[in-house]
Amino acid sequence: MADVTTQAFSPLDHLNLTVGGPSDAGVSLGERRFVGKLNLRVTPAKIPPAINDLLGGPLPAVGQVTFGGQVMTAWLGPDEYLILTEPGAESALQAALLEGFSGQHVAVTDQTDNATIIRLAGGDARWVLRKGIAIDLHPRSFAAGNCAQTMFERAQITLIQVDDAPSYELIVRNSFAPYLWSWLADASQDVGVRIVRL
Amino acid sequence: MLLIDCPWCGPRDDSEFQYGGEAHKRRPPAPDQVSDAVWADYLFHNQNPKGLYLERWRHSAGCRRWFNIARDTVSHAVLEVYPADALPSNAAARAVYEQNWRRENEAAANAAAVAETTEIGA
Ligand SMILES: [Zn+2]
Repeated sequence: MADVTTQAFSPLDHLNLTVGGPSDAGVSLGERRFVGKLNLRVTPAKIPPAINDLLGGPLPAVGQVTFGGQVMTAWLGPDEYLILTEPGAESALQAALLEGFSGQHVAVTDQTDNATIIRLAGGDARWVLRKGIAIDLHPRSFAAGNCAQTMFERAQITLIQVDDAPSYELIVRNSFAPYLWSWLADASQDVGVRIVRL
Repeated sequence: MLLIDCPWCGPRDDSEFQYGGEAHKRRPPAPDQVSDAVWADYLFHNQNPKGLYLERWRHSAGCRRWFNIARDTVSHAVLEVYPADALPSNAAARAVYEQNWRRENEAAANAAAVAETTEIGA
């Protein structure tokens, strides 16, 4: 079989981004390339224990994410979740989940190649993010472990706050990724931006 | 900017939502059995009031779920957000539901249309 990893490319590759920037930059910007993404549709009341084992715990509550070792699960809707895995681990997890649900009426869809993840982190990350987003990002209403699907200017995103740095991950469709990256890089100029490899 | 309180995601800008028209319109169960007038009623005719209105909305840029709201078309005040398959519990909104011309006409119009179609066919 062909080695597909050597052929894989990201929607940001053509921007020819150079790693680096001021050490005192207010934010860092990087891409988490090729993260596995599985969409899960299921009635939350009927979760077999095997699924909780695979995801490292119960499914997240409304507007929340759960961190289970190599897997992160985000709430998308009352019967819909997004599961993020290490690059390349999605096919095995998809098969394991389907086996774990053993014939139950569910859908596990591999959306890995549909989107990429841009990570914006640092002391001024919240301030930069607020320039393009309408939801309240104050820690009292959106903190580490929260997620939301919303608009970032013209791009539809899934936003996850990963930690208190704060670090945010913006999951965005491939076709909107260069737009979102350029917007964030430009909006970060006044606080300084450092491009990082993740 | 209209702020809509999605039953799942909480308050969001109206730009994240898609408007779905009048709520509680019942699709004729057999469209090929009803008259053009009844079908046109379903497709094109709306209460369109100046005041309280029961509407369908979808959080299209968020959780992508349909739900209903009772909204005043003059002040944009949202009186109630309620599930797509439920009736409003707010008294004023409930009155709007009950006083809608569809409630009186739905059953009679459908019955008449079926009879008429049968007659034409006979
Ligand atoms: Zn919503």
